[in-house]
Amino acid sequence: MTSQKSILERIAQGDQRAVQECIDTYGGLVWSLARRFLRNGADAEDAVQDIFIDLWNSAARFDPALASETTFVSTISRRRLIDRLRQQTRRPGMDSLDDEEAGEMRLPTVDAPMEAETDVALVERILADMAPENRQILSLSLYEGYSHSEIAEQMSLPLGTVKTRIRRGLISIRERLNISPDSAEEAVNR
Amino acid sequence: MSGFLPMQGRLAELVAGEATGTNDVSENAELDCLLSESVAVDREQMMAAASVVQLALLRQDRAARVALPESVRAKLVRQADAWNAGRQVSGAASVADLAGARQRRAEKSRVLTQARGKIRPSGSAALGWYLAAALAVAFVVYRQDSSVDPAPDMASVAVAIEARREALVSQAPDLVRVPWSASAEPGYEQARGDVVWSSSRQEGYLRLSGLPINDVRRGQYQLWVVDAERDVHPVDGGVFDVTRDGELIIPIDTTLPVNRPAAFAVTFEQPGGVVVSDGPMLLVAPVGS
Repeated sequence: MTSQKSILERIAQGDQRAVQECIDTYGGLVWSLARRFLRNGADAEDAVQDIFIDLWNSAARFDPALASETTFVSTISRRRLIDRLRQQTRRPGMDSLDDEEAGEMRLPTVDAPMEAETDVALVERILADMAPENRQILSLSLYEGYSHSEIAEQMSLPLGTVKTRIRRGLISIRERLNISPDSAEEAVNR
Repeated sequence: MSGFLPMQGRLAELVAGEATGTNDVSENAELDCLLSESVAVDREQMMAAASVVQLALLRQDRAARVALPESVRAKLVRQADAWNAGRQVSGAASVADLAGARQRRAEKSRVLTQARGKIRPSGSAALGWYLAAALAVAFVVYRQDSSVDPAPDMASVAVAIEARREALVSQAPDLVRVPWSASAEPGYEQARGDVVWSSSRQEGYLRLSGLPINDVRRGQYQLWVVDAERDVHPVDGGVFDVTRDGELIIPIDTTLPVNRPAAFAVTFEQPGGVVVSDGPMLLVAPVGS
């Protein structure tokens, strides 16, 4: 058991350096999630700023005994990304690509701080066992931020089928994950 | 243990719908209704599960795992500075027993926050470097020893900013000077002042009074410059705070060159500002009207 405080714990205790350390540690992860989910550089940039403000403000609620810091960061990220996607939907026709897109692949890839996440590894196995079509539906929805109507169109499936498969797929994964009931309320209590 | 209850049927579907963003308006209303009747549900765990799926898919998608671009990182660091400054103000206020002491600290923080966010060495000549250096020294002194009163240094910075504005007004051959139009936004009707800008010097200042005091933890004012040479978004002119009544002079800190300003506008945004604003324009100063 290590006594070293996590970044979020140090932010909660008023360590100003930890605020920037949070950017350096999770910036790549949050940015990668945002770019993939929103598919729009400008929106991703706004979302990343929202996410970090939310993270710093929520740091005192993080409890390492209940959830990993990476899960906490990604859960807050997900909430803000869904919010942003809703705004994006209300403002159709915004720039979908920008100049930064061309240079992005030349950026160094990063090993996001999630390699030791056992839940992540378990979900990888669950996804691998899924029917390819269901896995693709979940990926398009949860990871790439497509709406169920967009997915229905892409995959030539009825809307209701897509919606049901997304929800049931997640419920099934949730049932196999060992997320503490307490962790949800305490760690991401919004 | 919490009062967690396993979900069944419709509730599970709606909570999953929330976590996957697939609920429509009526389903969200139905969820709220069902949740109001429940002691506690698996709601946050479902969101956490969805985020773990996202992580798992990202781990498999190596090409999508990219570093944070330096330009975005720089904005986040600025945002972090503003957030830290806001927390410092908050912490100072909570321990201050005397109104006078609280007022002095707020004044110090106001000048620090305002000047720290606005003065950028790369955009200025020798005086800009001097101001930034003086500010950095004053800030360190303030943090390390609260018994040392840096107010004279900060006052010097404010005086120097005013002097720079006067110099720009008297010397710039291409000076643009426009007043703020009367605002129709509730609470901002009393705001007055003007903007001066020189494209040849890429230097300008806001002069403002009557703008409501902002809580830096909740949001900051942000300046935008509409450049007739750019046909997309307005140029970010930097964020600033108003923490007292009276006139403020704020250096404009554009992130891009502005060669043909068509209008200046002020919005109120999250701490650190935003890249593209959705908010209403609280103040507008159209050029040439």
